[in-house]
Amino acid sequence: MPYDVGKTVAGILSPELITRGVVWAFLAFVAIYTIFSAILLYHWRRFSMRAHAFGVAEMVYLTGSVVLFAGAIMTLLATMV
Amino acid sequence: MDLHEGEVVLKEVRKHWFIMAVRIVGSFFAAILPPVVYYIGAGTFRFHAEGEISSLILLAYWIWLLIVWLSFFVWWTDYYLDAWHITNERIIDIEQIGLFHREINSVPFNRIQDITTEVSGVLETFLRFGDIHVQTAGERRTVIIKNADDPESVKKFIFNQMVEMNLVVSESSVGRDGVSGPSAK
Repeated sequence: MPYDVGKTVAGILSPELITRGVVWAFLAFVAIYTIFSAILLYHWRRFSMRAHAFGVAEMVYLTGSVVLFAGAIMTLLATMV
Repeated sequence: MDLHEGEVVLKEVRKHWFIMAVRIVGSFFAAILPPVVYYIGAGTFRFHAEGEISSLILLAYWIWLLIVWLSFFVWWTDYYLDAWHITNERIIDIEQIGLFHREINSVPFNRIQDITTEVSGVLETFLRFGDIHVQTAGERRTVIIKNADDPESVKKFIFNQMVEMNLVVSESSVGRDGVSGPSAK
């Protein structure tokens, strides 16, 4: 018989509690990610010898981050609905 | 990095691209590992996540991708900023370890005593990368760049600069058979 993970977890924790915890954990992750991103961008701007290379890196990094965060936020919203 | 007046960077020496390629491949595998493990696990143990739980698993995966993305750029920063800048006066050795350790050493050409290169291993030999050791008369006796791209040509480049500065007569007069190199002017 297939094992239903959902029913087991739902039996232990209420959906509201899980959702609230997930949202707070996600916000904490966003804060940590933002801090590390700021440190990265600081390094690139402060120590780069070639502005062009780091300009491209910045664009790729920020675009990738936005795309991945968009996916995460959409999934988070789907969890809450 | 502050340059002296009239000083120009002639060459930048970094780790070989293979070192970065390994990290790219590593990041790719790290990115695809969770779904692979999930599908293998789901098939083996016959479990199936639905509804909120499947959304939570997907959210965890997005977060994992963000961590991999961030880690990759931290590695890239380490790779890109950890370099030697050879100027017309000196070698500037920048050692970048992660985000929170940065060390800059300046080695004027007239303090260089010997330069040795070390290429060991099959990949290193075929792809032409290895370590470069510059022995100096300074407080910090040796500066090293590991897994540098084409160490022999870098060594020649430095010697040519030293010849131009009349610090050494020719490359052949330096560091032969392990004998110490050019004398300080």
